Amino acid sequence: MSTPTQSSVRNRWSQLFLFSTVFVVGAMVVAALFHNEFRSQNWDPQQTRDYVERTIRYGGTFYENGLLNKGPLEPMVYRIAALVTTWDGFWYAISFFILIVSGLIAWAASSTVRAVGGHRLLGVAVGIAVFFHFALGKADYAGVLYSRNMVVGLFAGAWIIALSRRSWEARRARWSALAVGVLLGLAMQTLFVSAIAAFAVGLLAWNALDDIDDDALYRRCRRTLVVTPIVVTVAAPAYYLLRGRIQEFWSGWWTYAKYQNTGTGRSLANQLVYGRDVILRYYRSWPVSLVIVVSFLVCTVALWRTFDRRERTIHLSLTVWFIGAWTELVMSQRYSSHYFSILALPTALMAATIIGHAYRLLRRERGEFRSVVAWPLIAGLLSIVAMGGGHFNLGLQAASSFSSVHNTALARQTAEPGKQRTVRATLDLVSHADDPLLAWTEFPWTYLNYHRVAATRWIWKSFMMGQIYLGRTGPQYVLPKTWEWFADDMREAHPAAFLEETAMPMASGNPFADYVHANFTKAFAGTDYNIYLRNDQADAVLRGDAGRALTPNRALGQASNWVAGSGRATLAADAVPSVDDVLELSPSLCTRVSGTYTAAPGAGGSFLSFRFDGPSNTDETMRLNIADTEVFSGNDATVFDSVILDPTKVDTAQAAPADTASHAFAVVVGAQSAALVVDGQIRAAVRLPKPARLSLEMRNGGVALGDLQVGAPPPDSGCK
Amino acid sequence: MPTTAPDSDAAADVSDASEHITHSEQATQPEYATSFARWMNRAVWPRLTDSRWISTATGVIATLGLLFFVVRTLGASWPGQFKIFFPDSFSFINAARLTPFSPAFYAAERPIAFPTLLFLLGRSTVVTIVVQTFLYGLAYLFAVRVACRILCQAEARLLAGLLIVLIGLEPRFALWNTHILSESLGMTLAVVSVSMWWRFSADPTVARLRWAGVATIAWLTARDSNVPPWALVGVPALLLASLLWKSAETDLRKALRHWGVITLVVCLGVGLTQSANGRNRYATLNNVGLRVLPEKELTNWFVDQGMPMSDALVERTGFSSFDNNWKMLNSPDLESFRSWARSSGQRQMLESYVRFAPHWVSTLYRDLPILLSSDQSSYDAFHVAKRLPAAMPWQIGGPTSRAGLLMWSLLACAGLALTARRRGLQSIVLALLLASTFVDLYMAYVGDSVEVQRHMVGPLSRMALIMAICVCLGVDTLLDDARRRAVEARRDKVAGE
Repeated sequence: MSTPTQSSVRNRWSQLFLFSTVFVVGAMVVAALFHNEFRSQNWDPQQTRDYVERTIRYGGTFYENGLLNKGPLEPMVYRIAALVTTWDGFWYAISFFILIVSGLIAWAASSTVRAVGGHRLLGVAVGIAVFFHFALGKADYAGVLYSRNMVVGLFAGAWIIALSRRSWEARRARWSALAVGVLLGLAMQTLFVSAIAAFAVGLLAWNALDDIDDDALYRRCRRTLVVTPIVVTVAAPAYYLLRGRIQEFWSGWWTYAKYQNTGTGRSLANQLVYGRDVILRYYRSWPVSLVIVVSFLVCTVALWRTFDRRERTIHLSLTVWFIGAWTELVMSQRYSSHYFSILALPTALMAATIIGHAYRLLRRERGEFRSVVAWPLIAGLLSIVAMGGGHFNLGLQAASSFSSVHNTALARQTAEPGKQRTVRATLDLVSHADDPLLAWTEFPWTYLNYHRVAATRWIWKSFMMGQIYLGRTGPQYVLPKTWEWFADDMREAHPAAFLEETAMPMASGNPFADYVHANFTKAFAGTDYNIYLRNDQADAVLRGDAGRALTPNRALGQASNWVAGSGRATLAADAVPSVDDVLELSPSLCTRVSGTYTAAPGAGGSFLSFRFDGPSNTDETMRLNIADTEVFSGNDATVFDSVILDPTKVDTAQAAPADTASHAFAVVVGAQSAALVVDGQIRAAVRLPKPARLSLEMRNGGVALGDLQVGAPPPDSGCK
Repeated sequence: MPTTAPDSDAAADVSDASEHITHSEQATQPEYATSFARWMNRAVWPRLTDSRWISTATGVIATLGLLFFVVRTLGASWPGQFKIFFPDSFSFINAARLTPFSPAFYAAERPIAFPTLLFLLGRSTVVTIVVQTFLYGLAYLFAVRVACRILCQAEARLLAGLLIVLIGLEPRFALWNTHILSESLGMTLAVVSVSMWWRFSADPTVARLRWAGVATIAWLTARDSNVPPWALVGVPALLLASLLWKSAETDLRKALRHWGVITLVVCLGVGLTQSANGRNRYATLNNVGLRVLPEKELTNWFVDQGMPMSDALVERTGFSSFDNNWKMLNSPDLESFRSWARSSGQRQMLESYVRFAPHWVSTLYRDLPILLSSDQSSYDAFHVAKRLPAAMPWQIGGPTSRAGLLMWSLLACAGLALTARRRGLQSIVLALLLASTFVDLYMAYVGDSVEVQRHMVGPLSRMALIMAICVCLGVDTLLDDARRRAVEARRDKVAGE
């Protein structure tokens, strides 16, 4: 028996280790929250967000707003994230959900250790390592919230309940059976192929029922455990059937899932052979996983006779779960790296089981470990060192620099690529945030980058072209009613703009192309994107209302080199360039200044710069520039994007020839952005974060402006 | 096999002394409210009345607070972006390279505390920055813990905790954690030392004196400017207490004498190593250029003491040793002057701090607004100020103006005066510590005329902490007295009835 002093010293050490562990785990949680906000913005999550944003905009079911081949849980979780956050804060909510899922998995691992005789603190240590792996690890399934991550979260939840003895006490057993049933049902509803894994987890819960003495309760719980998953699984189709939207649901959940299965063109035998190759390759890459699985199997066989009924069920469940996970992967035929989360969880639980058994055996031989209080801390530190601290470090950096969601969004906006700025600025002239955008794309971020929703539920061209991911292409993979629903979507959305990626030109000869040709005019031809505006919007932006004659002000008054009059202004070619001697065209935003310009090149050519100066000297000055035959957007320090006036001319990497031709131009200024139209096409556009005044600065040479007029901005440019 | 107790049994289980909601109340409440009450009785109230649980919970919260501080201070540049660029940083690393196993280490260009830390951490910039930030945060948490243990009233504890944490969070102090300089460690050890002395004054025992003595020695070896305040205030106080504190136990008086002598020896040791390596010669050169030469009377006195005067030296009026391409350090015409600065010049400079104290005090008074209000932003290479809470309004995190200094000083003195009657020893010890901070401030100012603002960081943070403690102690005494009077009045009333 220890003396009070010894006990006090031990207590102090325990506290020291406790606080140190809290420090390390706290750092993990903080790092995961802030880093996964960025890391979670992966492909499928953005796709799901596209659907959710569309649902918010147009209402209806998730399946009316996107092609979903999984259950409604995934979009529902994303819908909740949108509900509790702002647009910019959305991924923080997702990151928080990732923490919850990782925490559940960690808890499941910890419970498993204890269930097979491990010390409580050993369970905590294993939990910390597992948490780090799923929240901040190097694996592609870590730090993201794909549907499979949700499924493993559901399984982890069910596993925790099934393992907990308290859950199966008489007054809780009913609710526990119901909870396990709901969790397994949701998992199966989300991914039907996870049924084997669900069965494995259910097996453990079934075993736990055996502890119930009351026969009626036992039977009721058993019934609940069997019926609930089935009811929850069929609840989704039943709901959509009742709602009259079964066609949309069935198209995505079943028909498209079937296309994905058959679209690879593999026979069952071929799938199995391919699966075998992948399994061998996988374990060559991840030998630690192989060691865990083999050790688990050896341990199961060697110790089977010594196990009690519960331990046998744990081993049996994990074995079935593991086989189920591989079956799921083999059947899906796609071994995307993030799919492996479904395998990682049973493997982690196998590891937890081995550790628990090892501890029990060692304790039997040598008694209690005094160092156990330090194990959680050691596990935390070892996790960071052994599993790679890259994401951890990035998370700490993000946490340290974070001041607010808004400021983070502003910082990202400042670092936006130039070509993206041009598109966003142009879109802002004809539509608002959350308005529909039609796009011919294969990427989910096309809509989110511009704060727009997809005009059609077919957010990717592949859905309309019958292109199966990692499979074949053909009209047989285009869902029935695709074009009918497309027409419905267009009637509903009536998009103001269509975005085409130059690397992926729109295919002709389909209703999509027909719709675009009939309703849109090409307004901007860039190097990465072509922007088409709906015909009425194109009229407003490219041609617009000329308005009245404009007499520009000279900033320097009489001291100015500019000669200005009604509808005209000139600056001599030999005038000394001056940032102060500018021609003031508009004191505020929301205007359309048009006219003609004829450059009078000086020694360095000609350089017209339409400047947007904010109210304060510290505000960033945005510019739309015409330098000889090149038009570009930027600020005082950076060029965002550029095009050549005549794109048919080949860039010879030599100085552009002097341009002395007369060009029609218009500076179209909305509430949030401005575009420079030259010769009937948008050539450059820039976002204006703050109110600004418009002026023209000649940075080289002179210019003759004629027919200067000021008119109204486009109707949907955000101006009242 | 698990069995379930009937509900009545379960209810009986939870009905203990800590039960806050009675059965009769439960009977009148709806089911969910009863369940909630049962849960509160089972899970919440017992914990809230368990001092051990509260202690652990407080520890966890403090740990998370420390985590917040460390992450916000270091995270943005973590882990690979900490660069060292101050010449002094290289000088510290050079001193650490000598290792404590070499005698040269103890007479190197730098006082030994920070090079020792660097040595222990393998001279790694990142590790040192992390550890010193961690220690800095931990020291302030320790001060809060000491305050919570000593102060009697919850409001005073809360105030003390808040003020101490806010001082620690002040970006002008916290930013030094990101540099390989002795400022951070100096402030950390100052906080520990002050807390230890306060702890000793609240319950004077030999063990507590030992801890305070050790912390003070560590603090003395962190920065040279820490020695004069202790030599002038701390050592005499300890020695006098050992002689005059008749009511103290013999062991304690003996220990006081021992620690007085030990710390005196440390002070002398630091002084000797300073002389041995002549590390104060730069300060002497700077002071002559920037402060002596512009003042005729001072110049004459130094010339009388043997400072070699020349046209070349006159030309250096208003310049430090770093100006004009280190002309003061390189010019052949100033060789005799440099030789003087390496030898007797340093002692004469020290003498001048006493002889011309009124003059130096008046210049310090003149420069105080700039020195106090400095946010040290020019040193904030890693933008710590952007990530920590901004400096508190109304100078809560320590004085930042002359008026603020006056106000804080008055409040601190008032606190000490209020405390004097009931907690005399605390009042005396804190008064001595407070007095030493003014000596510290003076010495940091006169010690070197270059980077004065940087040199003031340690004294100012220490001063802010001591003043905050004095104020909180005063508040605690006031509240304590008021509550005691109220209890007595109630007792009298009951007795009268």
